[in-house]
Amino acid sequence: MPEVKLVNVTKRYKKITAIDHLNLHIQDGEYVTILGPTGSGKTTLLRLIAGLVKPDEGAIYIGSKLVNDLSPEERDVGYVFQNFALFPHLTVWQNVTFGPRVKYWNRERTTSLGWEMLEMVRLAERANAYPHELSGGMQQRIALARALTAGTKLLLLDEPLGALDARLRVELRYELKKFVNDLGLTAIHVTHDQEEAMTISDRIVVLRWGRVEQVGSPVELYLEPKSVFVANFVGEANFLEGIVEEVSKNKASIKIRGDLPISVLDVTHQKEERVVVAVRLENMVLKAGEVTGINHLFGRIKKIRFLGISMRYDIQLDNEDIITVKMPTAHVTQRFDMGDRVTVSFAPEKAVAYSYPIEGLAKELSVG
Amino acid sequence: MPDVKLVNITKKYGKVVAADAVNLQIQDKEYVTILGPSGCGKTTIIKIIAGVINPDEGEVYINDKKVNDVPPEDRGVGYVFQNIVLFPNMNVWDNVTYGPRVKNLNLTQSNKLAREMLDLIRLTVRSDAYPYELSGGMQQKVATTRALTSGANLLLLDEPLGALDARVRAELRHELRRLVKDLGLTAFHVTHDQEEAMAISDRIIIMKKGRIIEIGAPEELYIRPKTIFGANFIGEANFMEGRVTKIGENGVEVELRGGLIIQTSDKYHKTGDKVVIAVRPDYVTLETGEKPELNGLFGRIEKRQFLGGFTRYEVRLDNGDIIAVHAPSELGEKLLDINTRVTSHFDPENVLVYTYPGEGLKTELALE
Repeated sequence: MPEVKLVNVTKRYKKITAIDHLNLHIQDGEYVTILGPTGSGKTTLLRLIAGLVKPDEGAIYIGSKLVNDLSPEERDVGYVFQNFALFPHLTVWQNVTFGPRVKYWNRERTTSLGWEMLEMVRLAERANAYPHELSGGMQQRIALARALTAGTKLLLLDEPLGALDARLRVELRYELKKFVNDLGLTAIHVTHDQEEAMTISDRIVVLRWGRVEQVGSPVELYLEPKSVFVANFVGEANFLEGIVEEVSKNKASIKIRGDLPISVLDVTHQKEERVVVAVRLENMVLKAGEVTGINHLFGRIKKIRFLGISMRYDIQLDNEDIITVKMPTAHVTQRFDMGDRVTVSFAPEKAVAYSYPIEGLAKELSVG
Repeated sequence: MPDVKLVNITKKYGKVVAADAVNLQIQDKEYVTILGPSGCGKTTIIKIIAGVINPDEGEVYINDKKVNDVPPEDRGVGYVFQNIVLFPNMNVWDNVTYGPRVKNLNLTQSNKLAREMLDLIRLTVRSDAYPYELSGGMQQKVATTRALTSGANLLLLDEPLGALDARVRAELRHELRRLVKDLGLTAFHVTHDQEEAMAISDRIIIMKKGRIIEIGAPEELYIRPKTIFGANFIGEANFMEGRVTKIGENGVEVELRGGLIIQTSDKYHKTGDKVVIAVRPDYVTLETGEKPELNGLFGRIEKRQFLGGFTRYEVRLDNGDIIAVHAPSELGEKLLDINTRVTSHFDPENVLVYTYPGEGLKTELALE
């Protein structure tokens, strides 16, 4: 039963605290991704679970067993790295059955499991090839088959698709999820690709500065991000700075730059509080000319970008703020040109107000 | 004025044909990207233009001048390769201003540009740092800066943003295009990232196995791809096999598996032709229940994934085929449940019709 529990785990590298009093509970059979910017501690977290690094404080449990003092081999986890890490002098078959052979499993069991895994990753016919004869996607499927043949029930994946072409990555992530489900494994998958995380996870752990910023299902994180950071990192949003003017039963009236009034569904903030209002790019509506109404803001088209599946317009509002609107190409009914006078609007229930971040908005939005 | 022309370029490595009689012309001040899966020959093309490798056959022209025998340093190109090549013994500032200094260019102007660039990539404070003190991503930014300030009018970029985090990459690509345009340069940019190509290119060249498959503006390639490979490689599409049964007034009628009839706006195919039709998931709409209508296909929802701005459904049609549908997240709209009986529908204008590929559909769609 590979559930994984981290209790108050801290890991420091000299002055840098990579993991900071982190608590996390992953259920048996769950597919969890760890998402965060560079330096947030994602890989350290995975290595702590694998036993490749030891925590300075805290306890790590796999199943119900405390594993702090167990070596990586004794923890019985499968580990897949970004750079495939196959043995170059071994064939596909020798690579895949490496684990069972060094563990002296009986040959019959090893052989049948090896073939089963190769069949699953659809590379049985390449069993005699050497890694350098295979494409990147194939090598990564072999690395996965090798991790699985070792008989582990807990799979740790560190950017497993990171070295692959973008289009291929999209294809392989569906496969990966299917393998894990079919075999009833628990998977912990580190990525910095939020779309990848959204597509394959039961739950996403958003990591920042070695701490868990938020844990939840993709829908939860997307619809109810707890902080400006999460709203920005999972999905994309426009952020408007403002001051709360008035509060009613479930709404706040906020004045943004240029004294423009907006209305937001909100019960947590008080009069005169400084806030940041977040609205998802795709929840912004664009109309030609000046149209008045609640949360209708005027501006001019400043930038147009075509991204295939979607179109993006940057609009410079009359208060100088810049708003990005994103709409699916297939549902674009009206085209706009550079310099066009437009109205941007959003529904009060599509906007979320956050307290102004202590270290400033720019710092909160920084991901690099 | 750096326009670039390749005439009948062929390059072989042993049995592998990296460039197969490639013909190509790039206009002065154009921003062109080459897109394709790994091993398609995109890097070979850029290296041939740079003069780093020589073609087996064919001619390379820069500004109407044949440059086959001109060494790289005399071709007047600035280039950034995947494996960053900064001068290890020079600090960031000296690296960035190297080109203008050795070429005795106007230093006031190039220093100003260098400073602006370093500001932009947020490395001004690291001006005195040596390459080994910087991360891979930082080194890549410095290498790009150096190419931009080199005084060359033709910029060759091989995955210049490849080593960066996804979010940072998305931010920097716009800056890269803006600088190239502001400076009036011609840019030739190799990438495997579809979205990157869409966002920054005047034209995109799609390559596969050493050949140019398709060239066009981003919108053309997305909305009217001329090839099955192009439709699959840029964006996503549902592909269904069928046969033309009738030439209607507005386009041919195609019969799919199970006798389903699809109206298209295609005017090029003839009765009896074996064809593949392609429809992007974002151009398919869903209604609950069975609605007999033009191009209305009945089925049952088999899979659902919330992806933020839209929800992806996979519908098992009554003929056994699966069709993917991307439904934009509308305000207050309920998601459809698994097993719901639905009609999926698309307009005839949004159906692309292709001649059935000689080597079969699967081979045509293969990414590796």
